[in-house]
Amino acid sequence: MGDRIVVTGGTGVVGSAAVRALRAQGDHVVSLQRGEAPPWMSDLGVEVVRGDVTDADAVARAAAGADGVIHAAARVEITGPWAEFERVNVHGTRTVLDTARACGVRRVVVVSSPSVAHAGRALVGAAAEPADAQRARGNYSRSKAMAETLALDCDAEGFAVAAVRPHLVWGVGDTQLTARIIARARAGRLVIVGSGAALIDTTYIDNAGTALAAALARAGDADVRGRAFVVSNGEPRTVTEMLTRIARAAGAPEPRRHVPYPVARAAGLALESVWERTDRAGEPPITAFLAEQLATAHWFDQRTTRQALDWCPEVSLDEGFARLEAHYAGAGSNC
Amino acid sequence: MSAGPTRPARIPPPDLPGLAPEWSRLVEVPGAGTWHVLERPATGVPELTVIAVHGNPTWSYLWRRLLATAPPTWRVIAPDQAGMGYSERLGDARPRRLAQRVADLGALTDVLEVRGPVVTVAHDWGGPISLGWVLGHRDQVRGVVLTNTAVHQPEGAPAPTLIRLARSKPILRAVTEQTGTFVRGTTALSRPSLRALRPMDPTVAAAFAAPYGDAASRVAVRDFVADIPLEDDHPSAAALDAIAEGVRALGDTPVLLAWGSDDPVFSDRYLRDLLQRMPHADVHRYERARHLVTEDAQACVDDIVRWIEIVGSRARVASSAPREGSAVPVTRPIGAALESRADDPGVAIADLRAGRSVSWSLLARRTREIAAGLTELGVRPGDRIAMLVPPGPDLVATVYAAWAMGAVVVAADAGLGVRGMRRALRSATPDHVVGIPAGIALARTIAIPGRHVVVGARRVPGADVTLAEVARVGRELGDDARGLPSLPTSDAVIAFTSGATGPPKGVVYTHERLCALRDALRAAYGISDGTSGRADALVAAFPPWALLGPALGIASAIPDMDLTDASTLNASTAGRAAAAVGPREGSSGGVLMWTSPTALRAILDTAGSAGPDERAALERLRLLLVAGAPVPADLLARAQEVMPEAVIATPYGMTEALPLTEVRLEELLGAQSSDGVLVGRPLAGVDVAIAPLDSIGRPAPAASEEELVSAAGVTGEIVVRCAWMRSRYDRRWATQAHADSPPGWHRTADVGHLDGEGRLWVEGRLAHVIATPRGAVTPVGPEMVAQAVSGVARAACVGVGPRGTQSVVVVLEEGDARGLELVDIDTTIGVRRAVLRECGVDVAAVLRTAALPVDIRHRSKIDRAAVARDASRLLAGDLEVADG
Repeated sequence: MGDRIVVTGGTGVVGSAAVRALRAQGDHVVSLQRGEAPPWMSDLGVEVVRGDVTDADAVARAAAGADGVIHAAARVEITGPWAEFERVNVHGTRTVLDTARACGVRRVVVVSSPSVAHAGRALVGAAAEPADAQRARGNYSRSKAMAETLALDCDAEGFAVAAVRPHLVWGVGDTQLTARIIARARAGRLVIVGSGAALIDTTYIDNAGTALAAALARAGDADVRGRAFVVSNGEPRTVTEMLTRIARAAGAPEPRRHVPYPVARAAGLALESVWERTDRAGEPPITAFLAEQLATAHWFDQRTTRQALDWCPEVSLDEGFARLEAHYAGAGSNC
Repeated sequence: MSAGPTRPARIPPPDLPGLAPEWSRLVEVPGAGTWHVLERPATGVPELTVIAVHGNPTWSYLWRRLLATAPPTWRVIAPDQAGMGYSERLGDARPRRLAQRVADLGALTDVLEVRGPVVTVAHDWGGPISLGWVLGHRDQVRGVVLTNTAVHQPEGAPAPTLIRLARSKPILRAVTEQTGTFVRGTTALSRPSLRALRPMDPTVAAAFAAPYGDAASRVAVRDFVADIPLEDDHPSAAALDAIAEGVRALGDTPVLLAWGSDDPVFSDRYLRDLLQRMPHADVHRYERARHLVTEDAQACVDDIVRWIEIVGSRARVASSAPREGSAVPVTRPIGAALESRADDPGVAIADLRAGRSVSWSLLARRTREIAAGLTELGVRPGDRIAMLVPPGPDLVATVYAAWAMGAVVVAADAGLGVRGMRRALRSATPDHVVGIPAGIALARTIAIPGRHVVVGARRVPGADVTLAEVARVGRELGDDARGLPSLPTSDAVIAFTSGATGPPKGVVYTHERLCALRDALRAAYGISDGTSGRADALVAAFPPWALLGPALGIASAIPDMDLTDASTLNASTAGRAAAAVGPREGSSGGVLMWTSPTALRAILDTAGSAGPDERAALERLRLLLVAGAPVPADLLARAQEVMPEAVIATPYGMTEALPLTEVRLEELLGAQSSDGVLVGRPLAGVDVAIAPLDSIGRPAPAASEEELVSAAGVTGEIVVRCAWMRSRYDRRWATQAHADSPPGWHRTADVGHLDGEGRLWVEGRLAHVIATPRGAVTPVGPEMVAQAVSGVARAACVGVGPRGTQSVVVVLEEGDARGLELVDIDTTIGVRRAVLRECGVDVAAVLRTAALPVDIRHRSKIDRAAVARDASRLLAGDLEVADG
């Protein structure tokens, strides 16, 4: 029998990938989550503890006797009030770390985001720069930057903490990015911002899971603890190619229309302010941040990550597209 | 003049960029006040002391990178001269004179107890001061480094305009003392960061100006300018003259002249003057660098350190040994065939551009006359003559005349473009010029001191004699006029690299190298000059090769074409050229054609429209040589249909060494591979080896032959050796030092590998190697695969992103592209899949463009660096563009 590992947010996109990866290597997995266990979790034999990461008692119930924690729970919406991001992402992370340490857990990996170190310029073969809450764009990135910084500051002898920043996770089971792209493509509303030529790194969902598992296994290593690692497939592609091939895999119309970047950014700014002032539900169809992301290169130097974590992605992009296509072919068009 | 203001010496502020506070100290110099001196001590007893002397109006800050870079075994001393920088302001009533400044420097080295071997490094007016010190300390000096300086006003040369301006009495005080114009102006003259073309970092410019913030601190700046002896009766004239004459005796001391090519103060004429005094000096001319060459040329300080390391480690006795070489003339001079056919009435050169033919006898006579005439008109053996004449009988006669009388031909061809030609000529500093009127006009934009010979009916502005007049002068002298026989090691020609990846570099061939080239070509291609009954002939469809015809003893034809655009050749003009020199009725012998891939494509594309005689002449060609860039096999296969008799071969080589290997069509057809371009087996007498690449694409330094490999399948820089390769680079000491590794070899900067049969495959240029996270990727393989799968004629494979983690991008050339843009997804997937399968390389993106940038000379070498820059910009996304 493997180690006893707690995953917070085990039903989320990255959390579920971590749960599967840990189970696949034979660990006993405890998922701390707010909702009920979905069937796949029961099928995998995952132990579920119901609760919120901001609730120290709930965290303690899950972490008792655990060897390691992967902290994936987070508020990931693109917009929303700062207080909510701060409560979940910053205070929640502090609670998880404090409680885990108190429970005698020796290794923690927090899931972070490359946006914590991104001030808006193109990232071309970039290294994992330190998180910078001052310059991070938007409430989500700022809260994640604060969370990562406080988490890595907790790293100490006997309590190893590392951060993993998976970049643009997509694939079968991703209800965030992948499902939204496909929904928009089906509605004929998927557009390409600017030239669509910006190179971006992405991460097939299963690879994010194995990277987290690898990081947790090696969190105590001198070249891992206290550090942050960007994780991606290491296969940069243009934004146009990623959007087109995801739409194509789902049998949805491929994006053809281009919206000039300044127009998209202006639209994003306008819609954000409308959403904020009218308190509308859901998210605006585009934000300035999203326009920026879609029109700017983001790809990373993966050499340090792969060497330190002794990990490499098992699912290539081509294999990922094939899996996505098989999934949609089998599931019909009701997803 | 009253006494000036005084101020004690100071330590510079601690925050000047690049300056370590621990280097600064104050030293009492007898008779010269207190000096601020930068000193980087050696660990232990110094192997060597470097004394670095700044000029005016800079200070020791100029040498900060020298202090930072010098090996720990050296002691490096860089003083602020009396009254300069942070040294004491002495309140001198009179300018401090040159002789005094030399004495001051000696006093400083005495106080600092400088013992053992010394190398001096100096800039600007620090040059004469350092040389004055050198002449007084000959037994200690192991080497002399001078950067943009002067010891003498060259004959007939105006003083540097800026200095003369600053010296005019009303202006002197205003610009040098009362305002900071001169101080600020000097750093404004800098052109650092050659690639980025940014102005000097403002914090560095401010550091240069820091000690000269007010008029009182600038008195010595004024006095320094006032002490420049522009007049014979100047108080410092005698001292400067003594130094200028004294350096002529430095023949046993190594000298490096590290020179910014674009210095508006100390221009190339001062370099020429220094070289005339110290002909043994090593020179490196940094293209586009200006007065502050150590600031402008990133590599300059590193090169100086390397040079000092080499001369410092050399035993003193070795440096005074005579230079390598022989006093015995070459046995069969390069013009021997011309002499031996002096009575032959047959065609030597058929110039179809000008519509005239010249016989061997006429060519030989004209060559003799011009040689005699040039000698009579003052051209000396060793003088450099710029030849700005298109290929044709006049060029051939003048070139062979120059060789006959021992002059050096500077061959800047039109293929460099006008800007490239001007850069090339300036770098070679010719003593004379022979040119058509347009060439004379070009020569007027650079200073050429000697004869200006125009090829044309009458003198034009800037020309002092016509070529016909030169010949007449020679003719009138009769047979008495003979040049000196050529020595094997004397320079014969300076050719230029095409400058596709930077300014053209001068490449020097000596007579023995040229003769070896002639003999290698004869042997490799069985060229027969008629002495054994068979007379071959040459069609120079790459016109500069017409120059080789007389050396080989075969007739040559120049087709009617635009010399700057190989694609203007066609089957009719090529056929007519072949017919013009084809074997006469009843005689055997064949016609060779030497062409570039672009010219060949133009011939083949128009084969259908050529007349029957023209076609017939092409059909009878004996040998077709295609060189200048990688040649696709299908192009050669098409050529075989038009030229069924011809042996078709493509030699591989470069301006520095050609030919090195060759491959024939049959072998090329059987050897399609994605590993690169097969260029074939080394010719007899050529050694080819590989300096392996490391994981981020850097070749092994290979200082010795043992580090080179010839094992099959190892990719690295191609390193070659043969008797007919270049002797050296011209005035590029550092380039030369790099290329000569291991000694006696030439590093080609091409990458490739040898196969199991000893055949060489070229995979691209070293500068174009892509350093991906999975190792080095060479571009040619992926390009060939991409061409094959997408059906385009030309593709470029480049890297974007930082070295070591670069992404691979393929750019297809498609005529209907609008700027650089993405190809459709299916093409992207198709190219990526094929390249992954054949080369094991992941292609991140596939782009297209209407025309890939190529070099001017061959129109076929892709400038992948430019492609990479454009691709990087596109793939960075819109935000970068929006931000400017």
